[in-house]
Amino acid sequence: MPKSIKGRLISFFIMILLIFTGSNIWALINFNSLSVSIDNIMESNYRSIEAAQNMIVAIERQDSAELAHMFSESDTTVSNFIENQKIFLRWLTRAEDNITETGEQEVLASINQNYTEYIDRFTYLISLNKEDDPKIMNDYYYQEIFPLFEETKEGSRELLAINQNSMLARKDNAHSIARRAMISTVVVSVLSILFGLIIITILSNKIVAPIHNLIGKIKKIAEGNYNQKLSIEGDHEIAQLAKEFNQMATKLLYYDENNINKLKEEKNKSEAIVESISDGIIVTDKENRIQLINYKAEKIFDIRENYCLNQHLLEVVNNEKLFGLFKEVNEHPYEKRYKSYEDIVVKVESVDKYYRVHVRPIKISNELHYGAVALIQDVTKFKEVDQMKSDFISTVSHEFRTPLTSITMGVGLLLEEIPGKLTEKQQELIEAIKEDSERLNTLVGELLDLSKLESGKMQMDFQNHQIEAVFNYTIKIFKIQCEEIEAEIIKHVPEQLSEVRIDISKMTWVISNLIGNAIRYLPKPGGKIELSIKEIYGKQIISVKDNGSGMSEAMQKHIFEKFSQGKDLAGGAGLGLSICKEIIKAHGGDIWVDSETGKGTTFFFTVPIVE
Amino acid sequence: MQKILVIDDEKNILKSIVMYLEGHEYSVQAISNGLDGIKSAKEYLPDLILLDLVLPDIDGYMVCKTIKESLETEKIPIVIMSAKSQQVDIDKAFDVGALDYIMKPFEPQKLLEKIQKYLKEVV
Repeated sequence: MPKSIKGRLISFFIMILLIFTGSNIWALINFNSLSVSIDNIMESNYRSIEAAQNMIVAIERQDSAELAHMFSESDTTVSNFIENQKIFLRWLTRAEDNITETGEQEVLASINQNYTEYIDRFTYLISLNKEDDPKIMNDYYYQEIFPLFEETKEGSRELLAINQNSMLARKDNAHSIARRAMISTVVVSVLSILFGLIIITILSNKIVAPIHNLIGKIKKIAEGNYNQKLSIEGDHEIAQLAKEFNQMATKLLYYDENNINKLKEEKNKSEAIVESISDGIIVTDKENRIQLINYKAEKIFDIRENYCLNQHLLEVVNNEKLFGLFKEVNEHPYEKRYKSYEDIVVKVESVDKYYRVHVRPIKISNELHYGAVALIQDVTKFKEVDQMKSDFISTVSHEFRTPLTSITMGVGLLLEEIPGKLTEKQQELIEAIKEDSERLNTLVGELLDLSKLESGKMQMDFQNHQIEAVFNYTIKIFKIQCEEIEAEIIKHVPEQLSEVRIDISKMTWVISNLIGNAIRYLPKPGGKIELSIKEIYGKQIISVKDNGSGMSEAMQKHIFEKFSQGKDLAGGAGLGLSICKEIIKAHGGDIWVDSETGKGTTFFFTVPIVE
Repeated sequence: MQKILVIDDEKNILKSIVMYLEGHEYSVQAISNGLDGIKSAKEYLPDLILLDLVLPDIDGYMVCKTIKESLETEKIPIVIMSAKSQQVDIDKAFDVGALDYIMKPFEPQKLLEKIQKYLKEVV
């Protein structure tokens, strides 16, 4: 048996072809022997039968001619006799040429002998003169000739019978040959079909079984069970495939083990990193069940990771605020939140500790999220410092405001001339004191606001609004002031703008502050302030452009820093833009300036669009 | 003449307020601590009290509360004057019964307007 599948298939088909050729040859042989046996009948018997029949007819005619010779006056009798003698002898010769059956030779020999004697006797008969003695002639015929005639005729009949019997036997033989050919052809066909089926079954099993085996193993490998070996002997295609497969499986196993080791290593590393992070980390799945707690988080909430894995967060950490953060993030993992953290208080050994908790969704893809992770930072120290800072600022501002109150009161008193009449110069001086004490007061107020904004203490009230509404409101505020200096404020607002999420009073403050600043540096008259909005990439860019005196690059760099202001330009405390910056930052936006000395200034800031 | 009680520990503020209000024809008593303030409210029975929140003995909230809880003085309108600007401080002042809150520093005219307004209501 050849080793390769191709060889096997070829040999199989050759075998089938051989079987069918054999069965066809067998059928041909049978047909041939049938045809031979039919020929035999024709060759051996038919001619002898024809000869015997004709011999009988001829000899009977001779006998009639004899009788006619004896009893009539006709002179054609002898010639008639001789004519039939020729016919008899011709057919006899034919019969003698075609001796095929046993006994035929002897019969023909006796016919020949009897006929020869018969002819001799007839010749003698003719020599007798019937006129002389008709009785002698008559006696001679009945005693000498007639028996010979009868014997010859009998011999011919015998020849006929032998050949007829033989023909029947041959016919039977042909029948039996035909039946045998039919049966044997059927048997050979059935056998070759059976044989073919057996070969097909064996061959397909031989080819398919290893493929099935291969499929099974490949399935297992696909399931991740790389420890698979195929044992297929030989060097046919399947065996080669199995060899390659085994090599592949070995490699896969190697890679897998390597991978597993690497993964384990990486996992241990990651776990070690997470454990050693000095901030608390809690990971939950989508249903807020705990999946990971690091050492620090265990400490903070006085829990053990082993006891709370897969438990609901609320069952483990009884902190509604923390749970609320997780819940919100897990319910809306794809929404941007404006406040990214929340401060919680946890009592640790009966002391209040402050923790800042950032919770973020863990997104596997754009549609799939695993859960949420919380970073819990101890901000107790910051809180304390913060408290100190705000206490300090509040004290300082209080300390400033108290003397300012008496200065303001005193100035008011003097200007109302309650203590007594003022000279013109005195009045001028006191007006100056009043103006500066007002400035000092504004400064103290702004300082306090800025401190609140920086420490995140400023309450922000975010709502969805159109910036245009803020434009309209601020334009109204500055209307009179603009008319006085003959300036104009123009707004450029495209149609169909999205809403933005803003604290409208703080936003109004920002835009008013920017317009107020611009007005101070406008040319008088002919001042122009343009307010515009552009929408790109999920945010709106708002700009306040003036045609005022502009500012140098050096100044632009420091414009948002505390207490910076244009040195060469008319006064104004430098806290306004710092406050603007803090407010915009609290909105999740940016603020910047673009300016050129003498050509005006444009302030830009961004605000995120409501999704 | 309508009577106004001013309670503030800052003598300069006291001096200027007293001078200013007297200049506008009011009778003014100036007190520089909380306890004396409460006492004075009961004895002097002013038509209006101007009260600072930061005082050397007890704080202004306490003073306001005590005056508002006492039968003789409960109807006297109290206007808080303070440098405290946080909303919680302001809310707390209203909680203890203050009628108004005026942030320091203030223009004397503003103070006068408020006083005139509340005294008109009382009359």
